[in-house]
Amino acid sequence: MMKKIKGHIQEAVLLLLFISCLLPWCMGILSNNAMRYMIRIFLYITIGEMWNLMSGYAGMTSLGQQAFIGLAGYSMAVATTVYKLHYAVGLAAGAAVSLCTAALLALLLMRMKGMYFAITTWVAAEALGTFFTGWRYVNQGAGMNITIVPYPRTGELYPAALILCAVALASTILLLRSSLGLGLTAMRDDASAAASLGVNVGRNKLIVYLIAALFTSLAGAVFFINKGTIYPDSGFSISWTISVVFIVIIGGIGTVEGPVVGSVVYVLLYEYLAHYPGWSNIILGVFSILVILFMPKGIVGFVSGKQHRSLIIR
Amino acid sequence: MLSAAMLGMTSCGSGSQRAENDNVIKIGYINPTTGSLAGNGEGCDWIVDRINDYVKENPITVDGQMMDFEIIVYDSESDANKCSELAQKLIEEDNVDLIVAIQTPNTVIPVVEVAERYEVPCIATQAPVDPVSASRETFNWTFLSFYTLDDVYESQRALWTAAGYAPGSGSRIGLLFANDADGTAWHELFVRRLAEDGYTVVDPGQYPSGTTDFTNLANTFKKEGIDVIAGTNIPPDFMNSYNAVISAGVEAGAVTMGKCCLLESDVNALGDLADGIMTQVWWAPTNPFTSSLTGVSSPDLDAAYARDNGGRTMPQPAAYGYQALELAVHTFRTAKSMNKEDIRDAVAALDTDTIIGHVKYDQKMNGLTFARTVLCGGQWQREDGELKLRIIDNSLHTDIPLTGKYIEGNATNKK
Repeated sequence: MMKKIKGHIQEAVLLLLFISCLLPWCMGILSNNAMRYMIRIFLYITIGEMWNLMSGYAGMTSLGQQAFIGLAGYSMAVATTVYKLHYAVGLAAGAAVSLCTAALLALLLMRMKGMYFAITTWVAAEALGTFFTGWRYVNQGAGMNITIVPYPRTGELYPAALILCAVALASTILLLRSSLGLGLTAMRDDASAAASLGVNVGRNKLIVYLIAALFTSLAGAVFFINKGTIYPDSGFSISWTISVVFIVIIGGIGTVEGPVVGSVVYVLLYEYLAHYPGWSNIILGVFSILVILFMPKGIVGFVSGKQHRSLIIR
Repeated sequence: MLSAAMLGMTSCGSGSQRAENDNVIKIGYINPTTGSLAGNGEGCDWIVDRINDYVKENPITVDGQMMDFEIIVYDSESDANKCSELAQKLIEEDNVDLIVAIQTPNTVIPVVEVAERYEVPCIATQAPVDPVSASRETFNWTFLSFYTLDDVYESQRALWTAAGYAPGSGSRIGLLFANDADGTAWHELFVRRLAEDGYTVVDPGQYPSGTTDFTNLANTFKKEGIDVIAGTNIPPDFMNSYNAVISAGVEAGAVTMGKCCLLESDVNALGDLADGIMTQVWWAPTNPFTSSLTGVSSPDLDAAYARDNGGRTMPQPAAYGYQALELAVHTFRTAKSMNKEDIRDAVAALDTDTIIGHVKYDQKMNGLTFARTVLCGGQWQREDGELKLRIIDNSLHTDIPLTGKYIEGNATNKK
């Protein structure tokens, strides 16, 4: 009963958040700058939720989700710049290419676990990055300037990023509530025990991996429309994984709310620290060390732990 | 939390619309303070302070209104990805009136792309014209001042000639180019012009910037034999490739290298091998130029830099940063209003003497308007144990005084 009520509260909060983000846009009261912040937050939430779903729930810690970000970014760049197609087609192409690549990689990755899985995902992303760096069709390491006519304005990208984020969040929640979600947490804790209880470990891992690839690639493609340029070392950079690990750890791994909180903190910190040239990365590093030391379960874990303790004291 | 953050941010500026009561000139400047191009970004704070001090004493009036002046500097971390994000931040959050894009095509092109997309005037400098002009089809808001790659080639050819490897001599030129925007543009032009001049090209192929294993490249040079090493690289790429080439026992009679051999700090890091390397000189303290804005001459600017920075010579890129900000101040001095079209027109009409020479945007390449700037050939020579960059060729700009003659060094070990 309590679980059901908690679930309804989660749904209501999500709906409220969605409306409170959509309404100001519909009313035209959001500044371009506010939308720029929010687009980044929405996209990081999407990528963060997917990484959290894999690592925090299914025990599949990937260091190579940037493979899908880069693939989708390049697919979108080629579709719009070379073939002069609408960017919606570019997004679809990015998602399709990423899904196909994920399906191929899955043949190898689904046989692995733990650090072997993590390292292989990283190696795959690095290999793709190296391939694109030498591929003449995509201008090698010189990268591509993304040409879309007319170029979508911030106000046009905002609803796209918001809807993507909302769908990613809703999908995560629904997935976790399904029997597959229960199976995932069982798998994370002990894959052999879960399998002996009838959980189809291989199928579950594959579904999660493909869903994560799909949403990560869509978020990556929107990111690169917003940037306007793509290079192999920006598309396939390990810094995507570093950012997303920061977001999930700071927010709270293994919770749906964690990546949301982590993304807000990360984007605000990132933007604020731009005013300290040369110091920003040092400050970001010190901040993450402090959070890991004093809030090992992330901000969400820390806050819910405090609430739990205060309830016990009462 | 998300909603609160968003509501808080609705007050973070009104996009690119300039507020009516805003009487501040805002200039955005994205500098590689950290990362692989940090050497090029050296001196940024110092030049920003100098220009701020000047404007404080000589305020700018636009359309009859006295204006405050602000230069907003962000660190690109030498990362092209971050350049575009920061350019957006400058436009959307800081509402800058003009952007300065500076320091190699890797960090200039993404900023130019954003400036063009958001229709914000952009003063670009210190990136060869060819790769920037090839980066997009139209340029309506960007004005670049630097040299063309044909200038670079001709300057380097003069240096090879000084070292005894003249055109038509059949000398073998080994190429060291990464496959980034800069390296690709240089590579295409060098391969074509070297063949036209009767040189034999030894091309081991371009490599991804950041490569650490150059064994294959060194073996190619060793196997095919070379007289000259030519290229342009960021400092880590050149350090790694050059060390691999030397370790493989390759002998070269001349080394001409762009981008990474401009600064004493970068060249000193090469140790004994730096002695004799040749490079471009776009600015030197001995150049006969005086800023029409501040009245400071090149030697005076260098002396002031040395006084405030422990006796260091003013880096060439810092002089270009100073020039970009000079141009920015001139722009607002002559702009009819703070309207962005008027600011753009003022940039386009600039015709002024700066610390790096005269700047007038009177040439075009693939739709990009640019001003061609000075380029000479220099060599790092050791004097009293210290490496000094001497100008040994001024064939493209004879008004620049020579400060030395070609001499053999450790980098030119082929007899």
